[in-house]
Amino acid sequence: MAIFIDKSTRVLVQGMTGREGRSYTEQMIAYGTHVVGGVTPNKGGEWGVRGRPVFDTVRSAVNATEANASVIAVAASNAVDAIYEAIDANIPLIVCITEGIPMLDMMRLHEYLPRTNSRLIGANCPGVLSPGECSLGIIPGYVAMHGTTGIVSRSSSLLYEVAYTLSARGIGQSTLVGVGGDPVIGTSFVEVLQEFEDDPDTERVILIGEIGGHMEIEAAAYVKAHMTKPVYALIVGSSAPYYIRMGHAGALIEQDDETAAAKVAVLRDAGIRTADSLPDFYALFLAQLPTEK
Amino acid sequence: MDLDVARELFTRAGLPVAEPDRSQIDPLLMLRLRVSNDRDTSQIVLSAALYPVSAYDTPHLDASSTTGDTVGEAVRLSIGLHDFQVRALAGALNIPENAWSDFIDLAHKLYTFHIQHDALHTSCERLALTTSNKWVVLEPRVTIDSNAYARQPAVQAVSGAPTHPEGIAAVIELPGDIACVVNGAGLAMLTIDALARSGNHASAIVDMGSSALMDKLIPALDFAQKLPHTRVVLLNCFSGFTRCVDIANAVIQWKREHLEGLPLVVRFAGYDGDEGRSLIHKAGVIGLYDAREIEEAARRAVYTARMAAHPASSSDSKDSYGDLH
Repeated sequence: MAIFIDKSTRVLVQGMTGREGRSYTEQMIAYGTHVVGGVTPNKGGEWGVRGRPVFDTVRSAVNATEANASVIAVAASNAVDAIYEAIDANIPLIVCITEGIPMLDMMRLHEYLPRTNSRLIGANCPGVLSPGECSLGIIPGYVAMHGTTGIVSRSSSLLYEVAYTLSARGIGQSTLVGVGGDPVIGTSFVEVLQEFEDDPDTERVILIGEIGGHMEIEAAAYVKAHMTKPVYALIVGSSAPYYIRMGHAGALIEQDDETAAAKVAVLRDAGIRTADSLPDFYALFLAQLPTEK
Repeated sequence: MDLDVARELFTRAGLPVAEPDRSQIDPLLMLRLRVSNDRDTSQIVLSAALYPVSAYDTPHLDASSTTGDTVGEAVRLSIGLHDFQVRALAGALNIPENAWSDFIDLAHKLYTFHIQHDALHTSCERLALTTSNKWVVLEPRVTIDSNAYARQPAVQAVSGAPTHPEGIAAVIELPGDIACVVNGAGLAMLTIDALARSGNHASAIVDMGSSALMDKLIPALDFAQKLPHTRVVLLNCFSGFTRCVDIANAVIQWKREHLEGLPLVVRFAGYDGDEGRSLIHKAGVIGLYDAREIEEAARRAVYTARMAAHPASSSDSKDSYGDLH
């Protein structure tokens, strides 16, 4: 088992015929993901990557393929429309890789999502990967290996970095989730932690957070109140100045409680073993493992 | 966005902006009225606070300049701003009732401006109610969402689109000595944190983004090398799909062509990371250094920057880098 996706997940790629869409689809199929078709308006009826059928609309694609997940790989100017189209077709899981979606558009989506049957992961995220089962998005398959550690991260590069290092040390993962680096995203840390808590194959969770926003603070409260599994956290951006966006649109300190130091303090107070550098993180994570296995 | 641009955009939207020469204004009340996006709730927040009238001519105002609390109203995007919410602010701020109607009109204009311009923050940092009962915006401010520039031709016409060097996702200027070329924001933060722990700071983050690394690498290095106040370039990549061997070969060739340029410290991880690092190590190019871990790369970059700044003092430095080859 894993969270969100497994071998039975049937995947559509919205934007399959574009440059990124083709590349992402190739990677997902190479990983063994069950990609059942693509959607590109005005290209319906064509054959896409490795013989997958292309449809004009998500509705027609779902009717024909029984897809239950969609990866959005279209330009930022079309991405919001693509997300609404997937929601309209009742796709339960939507992963939006596209970056550069305006914040107000994401806020409108965020207000609407609870009234739909869909979960959105991202945007501006690398997606979800359950080692050996399924990859939705662009997480390189070789960074992961099957195991019992769940990882959730705002940053894609740090998700890869940590998973790759753990895999090299023989510590496998149940699912890797990149929730995205924008200030408003579809799925929060807390929602992913809930899934990991309920997943019998996840024994511990790593949370990779950063400056900006309050998702880590909310996660700390959730862990303290509800989680039985050990959680470890890495928070980056301890040297970041206030009011400067550090690459991610969401990595911006505007209030004192959005700094790395404030988040580390709150997470530690919730009993989460937390570091603000990679060496310290690996030291505390690896030190705990033998007693928990 | 600078004051002149904000003034121009506000004026075009029909907001009552004062002329830069405000000697004619006689304020009865001074306040701050802001519209911002609350990332935690996905709602818009209209907030206001009073300043003392004497703040009229104070050069810099901040949160401590206000008198009393900041009051705010949350607005759902799907519902929009309603008059009662503005009346609630007006009442809380003790604005005279004969000025409410114009205040409500102004708040609606400000809210509409915010939405229509894809702003992240819009504010009248100094908003005066004059003794003749007129509202006048003395200090308009706006920050436009850079993700929305493409659909904001009016903003582009006034301010110009933000510019990055071709192929580079983001450039963030910082006050240190070391230019960090990275692929990903998380990696960027990890890198500048490691530099800080080693005793120096980044002069800039040059983020190549997460795709098409080979297309962006050389433009990014060219750009980083020319940045002001920079003594060393630190390249830190986690390569998901591009072989680090290919990146290493491109870096070696680039450095051989730029021997007179800044020293370059390289750290790879990911696809063939060890092989790529080994190539850098064996290349023997002057001013090109490899590192296995981020902390090691940071220490190397900090030491190299110190050598560049004070060549004579480096040999007796207590915390000099220990394993230079």
